[in-house]
Amino acid sequence: AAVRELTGDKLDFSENEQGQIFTAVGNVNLLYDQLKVTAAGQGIYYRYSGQLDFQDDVELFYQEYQGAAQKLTGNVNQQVYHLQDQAELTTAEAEVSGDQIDFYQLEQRVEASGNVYLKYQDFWAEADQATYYLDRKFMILTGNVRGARNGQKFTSDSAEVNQLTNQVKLKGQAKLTLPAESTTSDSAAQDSPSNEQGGN
Amino acid sequence: MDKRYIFLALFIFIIIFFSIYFTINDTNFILPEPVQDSQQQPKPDQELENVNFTIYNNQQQLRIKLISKNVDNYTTTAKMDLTPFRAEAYSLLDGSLQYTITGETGTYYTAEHYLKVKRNVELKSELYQINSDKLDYYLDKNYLSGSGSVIITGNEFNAKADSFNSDLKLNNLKLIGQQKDFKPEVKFKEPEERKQND
Repeated sequence: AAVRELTGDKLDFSENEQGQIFTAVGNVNLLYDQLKVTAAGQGIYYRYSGQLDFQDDVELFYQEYQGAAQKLTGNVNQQVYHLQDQAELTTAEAEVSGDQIDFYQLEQRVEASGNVYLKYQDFWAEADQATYYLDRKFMILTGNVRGARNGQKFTSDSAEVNQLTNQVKLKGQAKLTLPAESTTSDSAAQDSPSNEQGGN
Repeated sequence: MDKRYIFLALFIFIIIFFSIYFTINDTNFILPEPVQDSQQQPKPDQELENVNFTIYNNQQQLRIKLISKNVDNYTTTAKMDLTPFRAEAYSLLDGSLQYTITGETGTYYTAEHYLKVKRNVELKSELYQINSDKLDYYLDKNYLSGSGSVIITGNEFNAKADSFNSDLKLNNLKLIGQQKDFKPEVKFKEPEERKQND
């Protein structure tokens, strides 16, 4: 049978007209099938709706994904988790951080917003927002995109990164700065695929 | 040795003797009463056997039948010790059995209207079962408090703790852990599990 349990220094159970509510305080640990969420402060599990509300040094573990934040809200039934405040999520190959990270487990999609930083292998980038399609290994970064790979620095309005083909496509005000021995190529690229910068 | 010294020594001895004698008399030196052994309980006013009697919890609309082989009744201190202890609570509305409480020993405090049950305590209702070392049940306040290896087995979840408190419907249940390496725990039972158990 699925393992679904909650532990903590203190546990409260109450029931309202909607259903059961479990609150754990101190060293909170929720196991829910393949999901594990821990928190130093408090964790509330609204059993009737599947809603979660965890605070203080929250960590999320699901398969090879590991997340951390100061606050986590979400829903175990819908398998959606919102990491807020110093949010991080690491997968087998990449790591994402930002003010907020939304992890859509079923859709295998991660959305990060606010001071987004993203890194995989020798690629890193910063942006205002990022969407990472985990199954397709495809990332879209938008807003003040800035980053580098193999010594090549770039800035643009948005960027698309294909991990499978190792291709980075820059769009809008794209600028690529090659390493010192080769010249800088400035291109006031307007949204045209031709300005994509193919990887090597 | 010179006679004068002998008389002097004798004189001093007499003075010391009389001073001790009078001192003892003044202070009425009373030997302490034998300390009453606190273990010795006061004698019950009545010792009864094979007893069952009923108390009423109007607030919860319950009639509670207390059953025991040995009942020591202390009318002066308004308490009854039941060994072993069994309580059966029936609804005043439809007479249905709501729950039972059993334990190796229990005390009913008649004035405060509360039950204190000890050792191998088991509370069984339709919704859940609680096992613990101790259980206090405040009849008028609909308040249960238990401690010592608390295990709760319910239709929807099982729980463990060092101590707990809640109302009779197990609402506002608080599970507390005192020991360092043990944390209170709730294991949820999902619908399919519940079907298997039914």
